[in-house]
Parts: sequence; C-alpha cells; structure tokens
Amino acid sequence: MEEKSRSFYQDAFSRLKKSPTAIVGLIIVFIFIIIAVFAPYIAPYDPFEMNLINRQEAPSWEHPFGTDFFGRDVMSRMIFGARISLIMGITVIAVRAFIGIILGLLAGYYGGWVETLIMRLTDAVISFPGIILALAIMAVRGPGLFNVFFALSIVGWTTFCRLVRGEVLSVRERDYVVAARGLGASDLKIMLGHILPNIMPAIVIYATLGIAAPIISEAGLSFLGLGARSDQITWGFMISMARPYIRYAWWAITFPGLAIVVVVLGFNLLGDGLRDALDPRMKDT
Amino acid sequence: MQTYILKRLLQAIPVLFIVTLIVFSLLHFLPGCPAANILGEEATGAQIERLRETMGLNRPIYIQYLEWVGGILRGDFGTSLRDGREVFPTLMRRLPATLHLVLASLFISTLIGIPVGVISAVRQNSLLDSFSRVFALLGVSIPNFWLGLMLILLFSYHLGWLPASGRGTLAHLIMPSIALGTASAGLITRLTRSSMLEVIRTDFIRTARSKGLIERRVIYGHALKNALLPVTTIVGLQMGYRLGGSLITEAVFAYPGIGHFTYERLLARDMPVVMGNLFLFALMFILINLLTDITYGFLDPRIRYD
Repeated sequence: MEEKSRSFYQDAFSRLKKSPTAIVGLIIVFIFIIIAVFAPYIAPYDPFEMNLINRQEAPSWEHPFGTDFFGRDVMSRMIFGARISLIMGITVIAVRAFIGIILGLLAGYYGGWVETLIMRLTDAVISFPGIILALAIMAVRGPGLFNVFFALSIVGWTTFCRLVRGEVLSVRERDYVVAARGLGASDLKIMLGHILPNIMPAIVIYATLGIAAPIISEAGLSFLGLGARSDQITWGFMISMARPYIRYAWWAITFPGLAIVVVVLGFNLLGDGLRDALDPRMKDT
Repeated sequence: MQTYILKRLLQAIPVLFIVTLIVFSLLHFLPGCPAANILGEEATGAQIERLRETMGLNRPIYIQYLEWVGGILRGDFGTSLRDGREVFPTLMRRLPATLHLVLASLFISTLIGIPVGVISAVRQNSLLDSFSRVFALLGVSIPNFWLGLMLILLFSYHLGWLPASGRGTLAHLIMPSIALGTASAGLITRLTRSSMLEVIRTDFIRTARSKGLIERRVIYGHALKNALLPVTTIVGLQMGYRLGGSLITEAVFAYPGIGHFTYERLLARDMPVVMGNLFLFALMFILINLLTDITYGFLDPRIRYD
C-alpha cells in the first residue's frame, strides 16, 4: 500500500515537471512568497515614509514604479502588500476547505437526512453572489481585514463541500472502505483515515485553483474601502487610495493591479498544472 | 417534462427557505445587538432603545422572522432606515440598469468566448490555441475593478472616446460590460474548448466524417450543437455571479444600478436595504438556475425526468 501511494505522487511530480504552465506558475508563486517573507530586506524604501517633495513622481531609476500622493515609494508598498494578499488567499482557502471537507464527508458518508440538510444549505449559500454576502456580513460586523477574512471564509466553502461529497459517494462502497468497516473501524477512522487520503489530490487541486478568488475579493473589498486601514498595506487598498488621482498618477494604480493579476495568474497556472498531473480524469475541464 | 419542471420547482422551496433564514440571521445572530451595530460605537443607550423599538427588535425572534418573511411574500421588504422609503420599489427602480449591464456583459462574453473556444479546440495545440488559452486564463485572473480603471484611463482620459461614468447611452455601457464580462469570457472560452474537444472525439463525429461530410459541416453542424449544451449551464450560472460582480463594477463607473445603491447604503448600515438586495439577488439566482435547468431539459432529451 505504502509503496503504491508514493509512486502515485512520484508519478504526478514527474508529470508536473513536464508541464511548462505548471512550472511557470510554480516560479511565480515561489517568487511572491519570497517577496512576502523577506519584504523588509527587499523593499528599497520604508513603505510608510512620506516625502512631500517627491509626490506623485513618475517611474524613474530611483522609484521604478513611481511614488504615490504622499510621496511614498509604490514598489516598496507593493512588496509589503504581497504579505496580506498571500496570507488572505491561503488562510481563507484553508478555512473554506476545512468547512467544506467536514460537511462534505458528513453528507457523503451518512446520506439520508444529514445529506439532504447539508446539500440544501449548500444550495442556499451558493445562491448568494459571494461578494454581496461578504459585503452584507461586513455591513453588520464593520470594516477591517479580519472581518474581510471572516466574511470570505464563510461564503466560499460550497465548492469543497460538493466536491468532497461527490468523491465520498464514489468511494464509499469500494472494497477498502468496506474492508475497514468489516474490521471494526469507527466512522471517524474510516472517513479521516481511509476516505480523506484518497480524495486529497482533488482537494489540493481545488484549493490551489481557489486561492485566486479570495485574493481578488480582498482586493475588491479593500478597493471599496472596507478592508485595510491606513496603517496596513494591501494592493486593493493602494488602488483605492490612488484612484482620485488616476489622471495624474496612473502608475500608482496600474502596478499594484498588475501585481494582483500576476500572482492570481501564477496560482491558476499552478492549479491547472496540478490538475493535469494529479488527476488525468479532469484534464481539459 | 412537466414532472421534471414540477420537481425542480419543489426542490427550490427548501432552498429559498434556508435563504431567508441566512438573510435574517445576518442581522440577528452575528455578535452584538443589531441596533447597536447599526448605530455604531458612539450611540447612546436611548438612541439604541429607540431604534430597537422602530425595528421591532423587542419582540420574540420567531415573530420577527415570520413578519419579515410574510412581508417579503407580499413584496414588502420593509423601509429604509436612512430615508424612510419603502425598500422594494426603490430596489426595483434601480434593477433595470443593473440587468442591462449584466446582460450586456454576458452578451459580450458569449460573443467572444464561444468562437474563441471553438477555434481553439478545432486547432488544438496550434499557436492560435495557445493564445486563446492564455487569453482565457488572463480573463479569469484580472480583477474587474482594476480592468475598469485601466479602461477608463485609456479610453476616457487618454483617447477621450468613451464616457468614464454614468448611464444613458450605449457608449456608457461599453466599458462597464467589458470590465464585468472578461472573467465570464475566460470561463466560457475554457468550457467551450474542453466541451468541443470531448465531442470531436465521439463516435457520431467520426461517423459524420467517414460518410464524407465536409469538415465545416461536421464542426459547425454536428459538433457545435452538442458541445454548446454544457455551455448553456455555465452561461446561466455566470449571470448569477455577475449580478454580484456588478456591485464593484458599478462603483467604479458610478453606474446608477442596484449594486451601487446598495454599496452606498451599506456604508450607512441601512440593513433593510442590504437584506432586501441580498434576498433579491439570491431569488434571481435560484430562478435563473431553474430556467437554465429547464432549458437544458428541453435541449437534451437524455437527462429528462429524474
């Protein structure tokens, strides 16, 4: 058993290495993680340092991406902005996956009224446009990055729930599950020890492809002024603050937006590559 | 067919019920007293008490829920906390503008997505295919608000071709619907491509080819019709999602739709308006899905009746 499952991942890894899109995605994601972790060492200027003489300077050798309304270096701010974007994307997707896995396991494994209840709840949550539901939650709880995290975490788990339930249904009656049950394994042990590892590849693919959504949503909510405060830096918030001066300082909007596009593209490319490598069934879908 | 439609309608009822529960519990079950939440931190006890009184928050929770749902069934979404107007007619007045925007964006994304997807599949692994795959992936990776700002920068401020904000003429609709529709265009391209690739490999296409039909007839006459079936579902779903996305797009272009209005009221914590919009969008999403499923049932006789 052990030997076989390792070769599955080795096999997948060798396929991943051959996919140019996956490699490009992996490199982009890796670079952004490095930038986020080592931001204080990479950024050429203090991201909060105002310089009223150099306000809204066009890109130059000293300031490759220009300066903003307060004379702050746009590139340094973008480097620090990578932190919140990545943390938001990864933590939100982790919570979404956690909720979705638990509900999906319960629905798929027990069936009956448990399944009906959970799946109707999923249908209902899916009916709300995610961003509007998140906004409504924020209207009640107030602005702030933690509330963005909270609101985004509880709206997007439905994909995971549907995925996990479907996968559980397809493996529930397989021999190894029946055998485990016959040997007297508890429901919990069967779900976490036997079913979950088998559906993990699919979850990893969805999680990687899903990181893009909370990154874009956080940017959108911060753009609307509901996320970051002025002592926090996120790309969406940078765009929001530069927006009134769009005619005079295009760089303060264009570059932070490009950062969002590139990092999201990176995760999407990586996710696509993972899907082709881990799950040949899902190729081209 | 009738049983299928009836079954789908009956399925929608429990979902709608849970939707009302979620919308209602947003106001009542999140931490803190709703009245205090709405008034903010500086409110005095007397102010809070007055708002509790006007909103009926002193009564038992299930009575409040039943009254709220009863109101919704009669088309009464309550009154705005800011201007005292009825919520439902106010929302309805702004709905057409948003529907124009969403339909225009869907029109553009279908117009781009389907042909690009088809060409990409027919010329699989060509340079053209690579281009369209990159285009599709970029489409889903660009935040719509940023794309909107870039379009304004280029076409309004730099070239002066299109108005940067407002509504009224077709020119006002062009940039917002492109900004809103790009993600859908990417998704539709990807789905059309993969669906087309799948159909091209099937037996009946091989038969069509082997009986000597010219390639164009095979692709556009036989394959496309079948490949577009799953695309109808995604177009329906996208319409629902774009309703939500329209809020940010409307904010960028100061477009006077329902989303822009809700956003303004959200900042003022006008909860009846926010809840009304939330319920309305969920209801529309459910109805659109219902229609999509029924259309699908008509288009594809294989999936009927169960």
